[in-house]
Amino acid sequence: MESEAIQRAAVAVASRPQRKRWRQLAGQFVHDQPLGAIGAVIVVILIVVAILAPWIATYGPKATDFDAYLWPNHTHWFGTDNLGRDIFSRVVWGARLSLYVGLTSVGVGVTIGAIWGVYSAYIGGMVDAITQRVVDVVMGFPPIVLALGLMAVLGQSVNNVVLALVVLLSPSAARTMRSSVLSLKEMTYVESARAVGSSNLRIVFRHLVPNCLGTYIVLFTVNVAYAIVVEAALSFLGLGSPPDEPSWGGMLTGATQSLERAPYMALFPGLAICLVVFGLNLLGDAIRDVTDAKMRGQGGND
Amino acid sequence: MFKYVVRRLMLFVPTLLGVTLIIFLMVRLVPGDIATILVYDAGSLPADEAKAQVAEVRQQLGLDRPIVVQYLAWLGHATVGNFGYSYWEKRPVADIIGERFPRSMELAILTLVLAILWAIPLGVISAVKQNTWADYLVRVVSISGLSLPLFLSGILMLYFLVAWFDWLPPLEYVGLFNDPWVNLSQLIWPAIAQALYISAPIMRLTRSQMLDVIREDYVRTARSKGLGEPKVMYSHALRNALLPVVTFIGWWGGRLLGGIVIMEIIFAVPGMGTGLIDAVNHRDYPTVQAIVLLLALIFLALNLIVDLLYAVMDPRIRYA
Amino acid sequence: MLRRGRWVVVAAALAGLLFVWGPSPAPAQQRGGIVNWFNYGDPGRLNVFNVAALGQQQAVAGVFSGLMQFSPDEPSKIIPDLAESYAETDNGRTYTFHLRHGVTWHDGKPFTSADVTATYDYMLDPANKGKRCTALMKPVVKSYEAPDDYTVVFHLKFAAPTYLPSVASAWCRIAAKHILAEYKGNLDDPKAQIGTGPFMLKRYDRGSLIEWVRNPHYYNPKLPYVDGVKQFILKGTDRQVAAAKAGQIDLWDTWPPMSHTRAMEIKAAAHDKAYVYEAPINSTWEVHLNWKKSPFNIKDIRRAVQLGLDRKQLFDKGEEGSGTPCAILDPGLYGDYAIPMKDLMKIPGCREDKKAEDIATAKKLVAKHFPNGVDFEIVTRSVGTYVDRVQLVADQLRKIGLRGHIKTYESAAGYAAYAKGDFTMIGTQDSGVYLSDPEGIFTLLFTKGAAHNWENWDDPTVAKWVDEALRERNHEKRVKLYRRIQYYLLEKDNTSPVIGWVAGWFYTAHRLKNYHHANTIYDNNTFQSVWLEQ
Repeated sequence: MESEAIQRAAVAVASRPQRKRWRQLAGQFVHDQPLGAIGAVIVVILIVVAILAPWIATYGPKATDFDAYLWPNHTHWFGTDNLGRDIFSRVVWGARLSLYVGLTSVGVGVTIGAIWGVYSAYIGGMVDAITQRVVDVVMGFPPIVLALGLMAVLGQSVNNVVLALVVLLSPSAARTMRSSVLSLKEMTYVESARAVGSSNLRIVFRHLVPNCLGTYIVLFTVNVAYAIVVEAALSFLGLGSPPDEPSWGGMLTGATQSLERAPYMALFPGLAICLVVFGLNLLGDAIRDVTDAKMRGQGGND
Repeated sequence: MFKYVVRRLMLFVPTLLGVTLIIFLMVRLVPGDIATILVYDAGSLPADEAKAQVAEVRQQLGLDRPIVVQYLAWLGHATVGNFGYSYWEKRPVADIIGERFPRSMELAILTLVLAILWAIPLGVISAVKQNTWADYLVRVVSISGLSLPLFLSGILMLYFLVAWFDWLPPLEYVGLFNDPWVNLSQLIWPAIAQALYISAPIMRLTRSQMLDVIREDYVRTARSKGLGEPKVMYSHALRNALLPVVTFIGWWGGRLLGGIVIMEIIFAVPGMGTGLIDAVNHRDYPTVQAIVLLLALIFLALNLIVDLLYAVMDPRIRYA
Repeated sequence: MLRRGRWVVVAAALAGLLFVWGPSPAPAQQRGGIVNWFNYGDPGRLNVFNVAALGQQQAVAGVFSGLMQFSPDEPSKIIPDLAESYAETDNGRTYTFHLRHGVTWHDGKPFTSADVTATYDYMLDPANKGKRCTALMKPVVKSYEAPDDYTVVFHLKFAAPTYLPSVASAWCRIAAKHILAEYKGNLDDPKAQIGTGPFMLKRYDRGSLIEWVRNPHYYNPKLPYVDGVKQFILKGTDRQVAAAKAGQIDLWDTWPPMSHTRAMEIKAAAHDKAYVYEAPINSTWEVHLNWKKSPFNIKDIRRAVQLGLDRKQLFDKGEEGSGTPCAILDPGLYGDYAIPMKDLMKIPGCREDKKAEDIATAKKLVAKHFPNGVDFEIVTRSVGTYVDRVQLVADQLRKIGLRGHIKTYESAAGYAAYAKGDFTMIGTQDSGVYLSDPEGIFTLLFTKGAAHNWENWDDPTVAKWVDEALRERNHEKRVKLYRRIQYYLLEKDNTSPVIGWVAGWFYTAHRLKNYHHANTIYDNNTFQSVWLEQ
């Protein structure tokens, strides 16, 4: 009991200055990167909405209980769709679905790709040649075509969309990462590190990984956005998430059937996609600029 | 250098083999085979009769042979440029490709040219004027282009053409050489819609690469040597920054071909994309295989060119 | 008493009235012009005898003629085509067709009875399966012969009321003997499209356009009025509606029909230059329950689906109110063969006034076997409005404890899966009859081995009655039989509960004259008697 209390106190003491530092950092970020800050706010809102979806949504996302084609009003804030579902509730639940699809597919895909690319570029030789052929093979397919094929083979479900996206994203991430490492590899500080006899692992983690971080983050943000958009395209081609799942892409596809009568059906999910993609990109750019600046500082110390 | 080119050309072979294998298997893994579809096309035939017929069609098309045999037979013919006979259209696949390929290429090139013309200058401006209103504006505009799903911009484009001008390009597809003007009036809209989308990443990469390069030693050196800012930017920095951008555009070409499927559907362009979707829907294996293989070939060739350009343009990369 | 002068005045006034109000002289048909039409897909195969989707059937619809045809002016009337007249003898078991003289094929060769017998040889040849006409004729035709160049005689196995409608249908067109011989294996070839129809196939630009031109030697020298027909290949409703709004196509008579919303948009965009109308199409909307798989192997669960589906709501939202809930035969199309609406609305599961009661019963039936509800997969093909509809079906079933998880198939893959019986529940499917005879829907859906009986349901009672009705020539008795089958299907636990008969919206541009909507989407696609106002 006593030791626990001490521990808690220690944590509290330790975290206090930490928190202060974070606050400072955040303040600086807002000052230096106003667009990035806007992006961050959008992304945070997305995350909060996704987590709290069951409490924010006013109705079930699949319930077809209401009159169809109701314009936004005080009970249905975003109106109802052609099947009589509450659009606000679907958009809110859609945040959860989009975040899930975007984060898991990109998290897994880009990370696999990044490790693959860094490794391949650094080792070089046969390993590089072979893995690059694999990348070529997978990337030889137009992505929509590959995704379509994969979805046709796997069958339609949210997790299969994620899987198809992983297959789609990782090779391109590997390729981009590789070219980024290739140029770094020949830079003076890496060469000197090698001359000093640093181990491969040390060089990779001490020099290459931090320096590729910018590329990784750009890839990550671009690709979360890309994943959300590809999911939408798959929905358009009839191979995305199951249709009653509240996916923004699916909602948008459905809405194009009645753009004139019910523009609000397209407006809200469309706005949601745009805002999130927008926010992610702004945030990614800003983080990139910041890490870049930090990188330069580190470079000087090395 | 010569040795490098030869080596890269030789690497083409295993990659292509890999591609053919994946195409071949994937087409066959999709549920519902050509025989079933030829028979159940409209879904209205007495059930027992239909079942007997499926077996018969499979045999006729040679689909009852072991898959390895089928693959090798197809590969053998493909290497001599014989892509077989379309199960669905009942004519040589080469005819189908010959009709549709130039149309899609025209659309792809038009799209890419529009995108590059728009994206690279904006990317440079954005980097040079980093963190000014011009930078913000360019970024916001370009990211907006990315934010709109491709199919939506296509549909909106159609919608507004009708709503505002009460006009749509002629429905009957006209070839480039028959009437270039009408042809352009048909292809420019899907090209704009897609260029808007694909230009954003090109612009972003140009910007980020420019930022990288601006900070590098030789640019600083150039600057310290007293070279004027525009000259530093456009001759030294841009040349180096463009390298990854070229790579990017190289493989982005592949994505472009995918997006063209959607654009061709929306704008009724009888190209490879709509041909592919039709062939997939009918499980017309020879046609699907030929179209995807061709797309892959273009893409791989692009990659090869990109790699060779790399070798030429970036002296820092040595090839053993 | 009127004086003579007054009579003259009255007569003149009457004559004037007649001139103004009397039947105005029919506007003269104008010649020339091109009808702009569209095809919702690239047909790929052109063989006019194929078991084909509409997209293929309409591609060469104007190129070929049949012995008889459904009148382009009165959709339910059967009129002569290549046969000038016919005689029915032997109590309806022998039909003698007297062929038109002087008809030529598009390549100039004369048309004779040998062409008719060659066509039937081709269609009834066991090697040529998969022809829809074959499916129609095989059970009925015993033999046929050509006593001379302009006479063909058909002997039937029994007097079938469906025989003449089959002859007149879009499926039993006549092809040339010499073409059949030359292109035997490949009637899909554009060069093999040599018919006797009002139009000749001029061009098939794959993926873009199918073009017909006027046949100058058509047997009726007055027809066709227009110079040609262009079928643009337009995929996806967005593209089709955009083209319609921009005035690029003259009519929409295809499947799927438009929603009310879209029809109104087009009407507004066309500045009232288009005539939009609602009409039933040749199709039911039903769901399919696989009785070999859980939970639908249980009779009560199948009954619960019948009771628990709110057909009116399904039509209101899934089809924007177009269609007749619960109808297995549409009263508008089939007249007294169909159960009248007021009787239909008294059947449990269809009655609006006791909806809550029926749903409560359905819930109880499910709860009896699955107190916590049950999960299963519910599939559909992603075409037309199916994807919207299946979501409604799934949501309604969820409320009675049947939790269907939706999976969509691309069209062809769906049919393949259905054909293998590889499904638990098909959440929405249209069954389009290809013959405007009441028999069509029953042998398409409910009998053993029927094309859309994917779950392989076999109810001897239905089979017996359907067969009786097929052979029954007395109208009253036939009506009685068909009504009895419909009641039976709606009140029992069969595996394909019908949601209703589908209708939809269509349009024709005002400049297109004398076009009449046919009873099935396959009929009246020849454009032989339409004309364009210049």
